[in-house]
Order: sequence, then structure tokens, then C-alpha cells
Amino acid sequence: MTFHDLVQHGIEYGDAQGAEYIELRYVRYLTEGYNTRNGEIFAAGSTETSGIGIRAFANGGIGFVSTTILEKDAIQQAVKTAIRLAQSSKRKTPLTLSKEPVVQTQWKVQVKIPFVDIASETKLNRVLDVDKTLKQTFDEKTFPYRVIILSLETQKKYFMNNEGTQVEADQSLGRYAVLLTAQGSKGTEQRTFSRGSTEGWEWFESPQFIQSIIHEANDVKAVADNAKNMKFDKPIDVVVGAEVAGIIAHENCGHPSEADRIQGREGMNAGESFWMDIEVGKTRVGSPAVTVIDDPTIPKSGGYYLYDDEGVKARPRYLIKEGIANEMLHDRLSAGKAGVRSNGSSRATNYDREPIPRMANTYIAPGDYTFDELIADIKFGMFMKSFTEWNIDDRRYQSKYVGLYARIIRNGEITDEFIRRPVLELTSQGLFEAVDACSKGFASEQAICGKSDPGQGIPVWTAGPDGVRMRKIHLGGMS
Amino acid sequence: MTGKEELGTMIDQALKIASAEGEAIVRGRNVLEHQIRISNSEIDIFKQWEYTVLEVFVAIEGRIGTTEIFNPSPKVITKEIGHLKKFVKSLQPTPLFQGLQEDIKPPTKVETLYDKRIRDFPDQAPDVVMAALNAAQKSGAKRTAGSFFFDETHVMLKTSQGFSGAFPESSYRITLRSFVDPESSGQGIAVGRTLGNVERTITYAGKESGEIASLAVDGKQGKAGKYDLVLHPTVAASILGELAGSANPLLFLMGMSPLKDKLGEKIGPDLLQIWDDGRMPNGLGSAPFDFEGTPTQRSSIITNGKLEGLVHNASTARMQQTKSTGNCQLVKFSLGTKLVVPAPTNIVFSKGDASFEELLEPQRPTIYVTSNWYLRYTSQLEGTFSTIPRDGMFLIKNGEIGQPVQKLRIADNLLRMLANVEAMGKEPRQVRWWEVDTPTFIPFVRIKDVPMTAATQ
Repeated sequence: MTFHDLVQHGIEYGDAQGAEYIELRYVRYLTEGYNTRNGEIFAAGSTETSGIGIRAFANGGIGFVSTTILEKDAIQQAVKTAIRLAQSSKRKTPLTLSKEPVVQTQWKVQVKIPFVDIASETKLNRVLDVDKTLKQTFDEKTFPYRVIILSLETQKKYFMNNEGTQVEADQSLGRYAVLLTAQGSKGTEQRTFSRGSTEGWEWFESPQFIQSIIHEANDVKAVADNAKNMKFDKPIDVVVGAEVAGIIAHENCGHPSEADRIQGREGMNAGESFWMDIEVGKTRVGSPAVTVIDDPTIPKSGGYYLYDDEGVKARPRYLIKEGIANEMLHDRLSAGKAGVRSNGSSRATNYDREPIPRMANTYIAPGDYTFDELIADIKFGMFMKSFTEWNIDDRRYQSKYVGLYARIIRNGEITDEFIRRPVLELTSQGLFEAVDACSKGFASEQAICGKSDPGQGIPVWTAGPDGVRMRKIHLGGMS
Repeated sequence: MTGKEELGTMIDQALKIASAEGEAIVRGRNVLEHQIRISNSEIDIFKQWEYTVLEVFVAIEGRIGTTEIFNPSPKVITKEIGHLKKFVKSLQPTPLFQGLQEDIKPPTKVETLYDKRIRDFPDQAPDVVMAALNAAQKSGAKRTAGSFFFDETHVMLKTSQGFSGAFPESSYRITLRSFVDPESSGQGIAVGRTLGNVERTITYAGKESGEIASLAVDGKQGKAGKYDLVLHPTVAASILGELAGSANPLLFLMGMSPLKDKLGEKIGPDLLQIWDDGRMPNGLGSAPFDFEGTPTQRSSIITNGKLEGLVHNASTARMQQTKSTGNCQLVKFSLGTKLVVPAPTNIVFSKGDASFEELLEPQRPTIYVTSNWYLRYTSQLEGTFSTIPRDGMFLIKNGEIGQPVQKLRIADNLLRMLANVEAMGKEPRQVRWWEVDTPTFIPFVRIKDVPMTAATQ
């Protein structure tokens, strides 16, 4: 039987067995990794998995079973087990899904050069080229530890439920991550950064691939050579770059807007949300300069998709609109509980994981200013372009971002004075309320967003304007 | 599930093809795993995963690679290992591979690894969970969330160097988090290998989560400053276990450990003894042998405060002219890639002589921290980090748990915190949950002069 037939059979069998709702999701997932340390390969691998995840609703509960045995009997057994597990949950409050339009469709990432068409030697050599360029560009002692990770993934998905929805998708994502340790005259600094695109191998062939890594390396070297500890007795104006704006959009807005957290479903793991205490659609959580959008439909983006893993059409979600909490991220389960429609936020990393509400590409919307205009209006402040350590509490309210590349602004100009490890330790509300302007520029970082148990690390973009200005910020940390 | 004999036959076939031109390891695992997820004191979803997988490592002239074969059959094994070998030959030799374990010894005897009653446990599990939720409610919880895993795995491993071994294992782990209100919560965890006292341990986790949540009500914003901290085993495992886990030559090579160049140095007080122990009874990281077939053992990491040893597999041991400590593991590194490298099994801290009450005896301003998450680094090389307490956190007053405080962050350095350990409790617990991957046996710990920070606005 083909996977189409198996999925169809599983649905019909689940219906016959009395499932109130049943869905089957086939995923074939090809992953490749090429990893080097200081110019030498230390690991590489290529793994293909395929299987079917089954989610069944019965007696108000949910059962989930996955199988790698793609045969009729195994699918029947798995469907039966999923229904039995759902029934044994003995829920007092029945779980239901939101009503959504039935669709039958296909979508795919536009790929010029599929990863499978490129020899593994070529892929490895591309990673080694990066290291070679780093060694040629910098003194040998500048970066004593250089770890480069190239990851390629291709997915075929086929989703069907007993409401009649069928969605078939082909995805392709290439990404890299670099961990650099710089030894400079002022000490060592570490930096991890990542980029990615939903394209094929063509993305790695662009000249920007290596150039952007060298650019980042220059920044880390500059910090290790120049950054000094500084203390400020008074609040200062702060401009953060796209990388910092992106992590803020993701952590301080995206996560708290996830409806499953707000409803308590992630209470054990990723936690709940301060959005439990506000009225979405009415409560101000930032200044009018702040609009935060999560949009899966951006072509070539790291979190790109057109239909989610419950077969719901994707669309941009305006999480904060001009400072007002505007919209949560819903899958059909959270939407059903809230009595609203899903906004297509349901994602699962593979066939063996349940779909849950996730971000895709989350960003602070660009404003009307040029970057220079943002800086020109600052008498004394800081430009924080990148960060190292970060964390946030499980209600997503108390956040901390330690700056890496950070320079003093004096009289409307960025100076050559580097600040060592400045700390933004702010509440989500305190941070967004301090924003008074955003620039027109836009840039993105590839990231893997972690959530749930068992973990589901899912590709996303964190992005934003190249300048977000915050007024009168008290830097944190302890001397 | 594939039968034991059939699994052995498939492993033999895979090993023959994989080792035809070099060295190889094939591990077969038959896995049956369940999870119950809970929120708002009800079961949200009940999951099952059942699969057979062959994990294959191949080394050909210093070039290495790994793959996984799910639902293996003779045809699929031939195809997938053929692909792997072609892939490996296209790579370059890696200096991190120095050959597999040649010294074949009998596996270690490990107590309390398997309980066959786990097979029928799915039928009882929802009731056991409900008993724990009731215990939480009786302790004051208004609602409880949780995650309960239980599993059974049959492991068989063969290497090209002649090792052959097999063992069954079972385990459970539950984390329960109770809430009285959104800002007043408490956590309890329970882990084990056998089901003899599962209901008691899980019910205790529920009770502890409810008690901490109840004590946490009316928490006030904490004041930033330096405090002595009394760490619940859950927190001690996250912070001190993180440092012990970085006694790993692989992390040294990548600039990801603050212990590099510290071997032989005194880095903590005399009372600190830390081991890696792959034989620990009831330990979730225990096994008779590692991924190369080396018998597991107890290895000293820190003795009387001195960094005495690292965890090794055969390759890193050869690089440092020593012997494998039985710590070779197959570790996921990046997409599609697993590493055959040293990794901790169970991290075990020695117990001290202080009761919980004695740990609370006031010396300086003291805070009791019951749980934490999000340990992140500014520099892994230095050990500079911060982590966020979550759930109940309390000021200590007159030797007793006092005013609950909130919204503080531990911002310190791992080496400094280890050096500042003042006292260890008498009763170690095994910790393994979402935030602590390596099973860690550790008691309550008191650490002096820890910087705590708070949001500035």
C-alpha cells in the first residue's frame, strides 16, 4: 500500500472503531549533518525516517500513537490503541477541536537544487571552506575554538482527518550554526549564531553565505579586543539590532501568546503565561510603536508553511498591534477550548510528536525611521547589536539578554567604545513600553524553538528592524 | 515488537555488512514507551511509541558515520548500511576517532534495571496519576499539571571487536507542578526503574508539589543582592550537575567546559565527592555496558574538592593515554548526526551530614530555591551563567521557611558556586526531569554568597 492508501485506510478504520475524531499524519524526514571543529570533521550523518502519527479523540480524551511499520495491520493496531488510550483518560471535561473548513490541497517549498542532488563531499567541503576562510582572514590565535554545523532537512508530509481534509506538503530547509570563541586583548568571548532558509542547496552557494560568517567573526573579535566593563548610574537610551529585536519578539511576545500556555496545558513544561492575566484585544502591553507579527507565509523563511499540521490555512498573526495584545497563537485544540477559530499555528516536528501551537517567523514590525535617524536622536546611549546569554521566566515576564556586540552612542553617533556584557534585565511590559521608534530595515536569524515534553525543537525565524529604540533603560546585572 | 532472536539475527546481518571494511557497532533496541500529560488536574493526552531501531556506527580508515534504521528488515538493512558506508567513504578522517574498545570484558552486574510488570502498567497508569493529583489537591493545590513517562526497552549490542551483550530495562519518571494561583506553584518529581513503590513515590511527588505551592502564596518581589542559597536537589542537580557533566574531554575540545586545564586542581571544598556511576541501582542512566561494550563502572570526578577524573570512551582515553571509563554513548548532536563520544551516565554526589533543618540555620540572608529552569551561559568556557528559579522560593527566617519571594534570577559562575558549597544534606534523591537530562543523585545543598538579580523595570 502507498502511504496515501495507508493513511486513508487508517481514517476509515478509526471511523469504524468509533473515534469521534481521527487524523493520520505521514512524515518522511531526511536529515543530514556535517560538523567541523577547527577545520577538521568531527561528525557527519544522514538519517531517513518515515512513520505515521495517529491522534484519536474518544470519550472526550485524546490518544496518540506513532508507528514506523507502514503496513495495513500495524496501522489498524495503532488506531485501535490510540482510541483505547483516549478512552482510558476518563476526562470530566471533554476535549473538542474548533470547526474549520475542509480542504484538499498541496503546497511545497520552491527548490532549485535539491539537497539529494549534491554529493556529500561537496556539502562537507562547503563547511570546510568556511573554516579555511576564517583561518585566512584572522590570526590563528584569534579563534581557538571554531565549531561549524551544517544541517539539511527534507520532509514529505501527508495529513488526513475524518472530516475530509487532506494536505500534502514538501519542505526543504538548509541552515548552519557557528560557535566561535574569540581570544582578544581584553579576554575571551563566545558567540553562537545561525542562519537558514527554506530553499535548496542554492542558498549555500550564494557568496553571502561565507561573507556573513566572516562579518560576524569580525564583530566577536572586536568585542574580545575592545569591550570594557562600564557602570551607568542613570537610565540610558538603548537601540537594539534585529537579532536582539528578534529574540525579544519571540520570547517576550510569541511564547506568552501561545494559547496552550494561557490555558495551562504547558503548565508542567514550558510554563504558563502572563497573558493569562490580561484581556486580549484590549490590554496595552507595549507602546504604540510596538507591533509584533508571527507570519508563517514569508517565502524562504525558516518557519515557512502554508497549511499547518492540522490542515488549517496559515496566515500572519498580529500578536501585538500598536501596543495592544491582539491575538493568541491557536491550534484547533486550544481554539476549541476558547470557542474561536484556529489561526493555523499547529506544528509537529515529526510523525512521532503531537501537533501543538507554535510560532513560525516572529518579528517586531519595522517602522518609518532610518537607522541613522534613530541614533541621531540619542545624546548618550547604547547600541546592542547581538546577545549571548538569555533566559526568561516560565510566565514569560522576567527576561534577561546579555549583550555581546554593544557600543556607546554619544551625541547622535555610535562611538568606538565597546561595553562588555551589558545586561537588559526587564519585564516584558517594561521592555515593550520603553520602545519609542523602530527603523525601516529588516533582518532575520534562524533559530530552533524548544517546547513541550518530549521536546519539539522546531525551525523558526526571529526577526525585526535593524534598530528598535528604547528610552530610559536601567541596565541590570550585578557588579 | 521484534523478538529477541530476530533482533539478534538482524544485528548479526547489519554488523557483517557494516564491519566488512572497518570497525562497526550495531545496537538494536525494542522500545515500548508511554506518556500521560496532565493539566488542570485532568489527563490531556495518553501517548504510546513502539518501535524497533538499529543504531549503526561505521568507521572506515578513520572516517566515521552513524545512521538509524527503524523497522529493520534484511532488505532495508542492506540498503541503509550500503548508503552509510558510501557516505562515510566520501568524508575525511576525523582525529576524534581513535579506534573502538579492543579490551573485551564481561558486562557489569547492575541491580534494579528491569521490572516486567511495566508491560501491564498502561492499564493502571491513569489511576496512579489520579492518586497523585488527589494528593496534590489535599496539600492545597487548586490545579496540577504534569508529565508521566514509563517505558520498557530491550537492548542488544554487538561490536566488530567481538563484544556481544543484551539487557532489558524499564523506567518511569513523573514531574508534577501544582498551582494555587498563577504565581504560586510547586513542583515534585519521582523517578525509578521498578514499580514496587511507584504509587508511593508518585503520590509523594504530588503531595510535595501541592505543599510548596501552598507555601508560595502571597509571594513578594525579591530584592536583588547576595544570598546564601539552600538548593532543593532538583536545583542542585541542574547547577552543580551541569558542572560535573562538563568533566568531559569532548567539551574541552570545543571550548564548552570551564573545567578545561583544571584536572588535578582543587576546585571545591573537602566535603565534595562526585562520581559518574553507570552501575547505580535504580539509576536511570545505569546499564551493564556502554555503546562500545565497555563495562560500566564508578569513576571519580571530584574527590575531596579536587578535579580528579573525566569521563572517557576508548577514543578519548587513547588521546589522553588512559583507559575508557565505560562512558561511551551515542549522543544526538545535530540533524542527522549522532556522535559516539563520552557522556555521563548517572552523576552521583556524596551525601553530607546536615539535616534539612540544619541547612536552614541562619548565617547570612538565605533563600531556599525549590526549582529552576533556563540555565544559559554568557561563556561556557568560563562557566558564567544565569538561571531562573521557578515555583516556590522562600526567605529563611529563624531557621524556618519564611516569606515567599518571586522574580529573582541566580546569576553567577559555576566554578565559584562549586567553590562556595558549604554543606550537603543527608538524603540524596535521584533527579531527572525536563531541565536535568543526566540522572543525578544529589541531596539538598547550601551555597554561600550567590548573586541574585531582578528586573530593573
